[in-house]
Amino acid sequence: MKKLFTALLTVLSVGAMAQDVTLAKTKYRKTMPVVFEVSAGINNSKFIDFGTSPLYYRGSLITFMGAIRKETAKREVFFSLRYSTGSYSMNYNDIETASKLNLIGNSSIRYTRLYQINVMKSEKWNLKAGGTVDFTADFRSNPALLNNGLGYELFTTLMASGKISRDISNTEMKKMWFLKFKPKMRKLSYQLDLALINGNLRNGYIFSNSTPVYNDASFFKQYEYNIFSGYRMGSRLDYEQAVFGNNTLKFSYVWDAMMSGKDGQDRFQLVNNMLLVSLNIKLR
Amino acid sequence: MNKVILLLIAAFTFTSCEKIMFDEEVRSTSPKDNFEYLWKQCDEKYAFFDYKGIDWNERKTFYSSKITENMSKEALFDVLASMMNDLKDGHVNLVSNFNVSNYHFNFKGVTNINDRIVEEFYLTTNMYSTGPFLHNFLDNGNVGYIRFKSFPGTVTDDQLDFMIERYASTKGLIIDVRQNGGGAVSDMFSIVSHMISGKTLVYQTYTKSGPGHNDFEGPEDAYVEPKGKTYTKPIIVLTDRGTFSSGSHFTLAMSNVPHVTIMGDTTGGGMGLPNGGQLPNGWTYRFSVTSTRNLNGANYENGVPPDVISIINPADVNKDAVIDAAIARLN
Repeated sequence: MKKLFTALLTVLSVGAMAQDVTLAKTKYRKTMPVVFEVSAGINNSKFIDFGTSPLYYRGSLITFMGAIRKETAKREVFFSLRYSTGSYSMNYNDIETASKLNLIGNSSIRYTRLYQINVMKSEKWNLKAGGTVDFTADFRSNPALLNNGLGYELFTTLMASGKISRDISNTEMKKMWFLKFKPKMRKLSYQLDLALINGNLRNGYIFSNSTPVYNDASFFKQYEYNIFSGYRMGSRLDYEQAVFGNNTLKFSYVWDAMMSGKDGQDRFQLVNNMLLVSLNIKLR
Repeated sequence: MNKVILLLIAAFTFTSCEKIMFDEEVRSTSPKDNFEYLWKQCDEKYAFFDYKGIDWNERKTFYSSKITENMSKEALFDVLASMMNDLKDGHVNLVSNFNVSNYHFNFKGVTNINDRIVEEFYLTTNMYSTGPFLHNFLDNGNVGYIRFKSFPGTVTDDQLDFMIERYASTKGLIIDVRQNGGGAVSDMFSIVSHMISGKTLVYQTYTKSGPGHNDFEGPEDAYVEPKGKTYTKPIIVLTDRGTFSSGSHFTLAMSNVPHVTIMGDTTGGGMGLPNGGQLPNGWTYRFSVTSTRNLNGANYENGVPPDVISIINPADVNKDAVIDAAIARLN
């Protein structure tokens, strides 16, 4: 009876502790600083779709991104929406008619969670690890490819993420030649994302959509979704500095490379190289 | 500071990983590379090798002997175009920046219509032009005649409702798709949906699903349901060798409607959906990757045969023997 009572007490106390931890977590989340990031920049992108062409198409796309970031030294949550638009071209062998391709959209939704790993000796360094979920879709048209002129893909990726940051703030006025640097918060960070599960929605064997021929027109009917297919890898280098009030300006280089994993003849490969400038407005 | 520099170096090092991850593009102006690429694309995806009895390996042997590394681009185009034309398919083209190859399916038979005669003596100057349709009464108002020259993708139900209502009191309808080279298949279903009394299975489509010549998935049933006002009295569809692609699909679909008779010449075929692709030198191509067949499995890639053969007399200057035969049949 005594043992039973002890066990019951133990269970109840563990439950109470868990409740305390949950409450503490919720409280912590509610006190995390929240930043709204609004970004614009250039996406130097290229892709190859072996289903229709063995040639790379390249383009400089305009990119917009909006994001919410909650960040402390211990934890970071990042949610972003990105949209790139523009046109690609293939400049080879004086081919003009088939070289221009209009991109209607190359966009992504991304969610990242990172937690601090206490391995850095210096407080100026911060190492975090966690995961990222990303949905990237692209939609393009190349009339020269006739019934294969429309192409669209969806990549769904779960990635392992690691981020290292270095506080490079100067605490006192610095002079370099004629330039003066006021004391200011500055930070350099680098994030690497490696795919754990890379899925993608790709066209069927013939690429063309034959559903209209049998009066059952459907955009995705002949598409195939493969949950383990191909690979994806990305990185992000940020330089951030305080500008006014608690707000910051951030310059980023984002690299994101993805490929579907069908056999070589039908593989799709896309890489985005983005240079972004962000205004980070502190909301809390 | 050194650690910061190391961080920056690491950041840019990973970006070069795409070179390891990604496949090399097959960019080449080499005649051999382009010949091999095109031959393989056709070999693995073209839909009618077995039906047409084409020995594609033998064709490779034959044409590869004509490929040399120093041949001109015009000479390469001629060899590749000849190889493609051996598929005997109007849906096959090779497109360069200086020439486009075609297989002239319509040369298999006579042009079974003289449009000037049809417009002057049958449609006449008081004809109606409803969307892409030209139409009028024939035989003192007993027969409705609809001339449809292509499938532009702009056919609407209100256009069809108007024509059905206009010819509601006639004995029969003639739909003339001679020299109709095709276009949007959606138009075909729109027209058929106004010519049936109930849900109708009109044909079946097989789609290439693997590299083997007989790797197909399907069949997928093509059903059409009645829409809006419908015409269920006798209908005669006029065809010739110039009736191609969506025109042939329309002919096949209408041949499975009980009150329809196909009259004229065998169509030009084109029962496969053409794809589109690009060669390593940037030229583009297309060829058929599906096979639409009749409900009994018959493959009409080489043309849908008419129920009644009827050919115009080229010497006629003021009459169309095919339309006259259709009017006589409706009477």
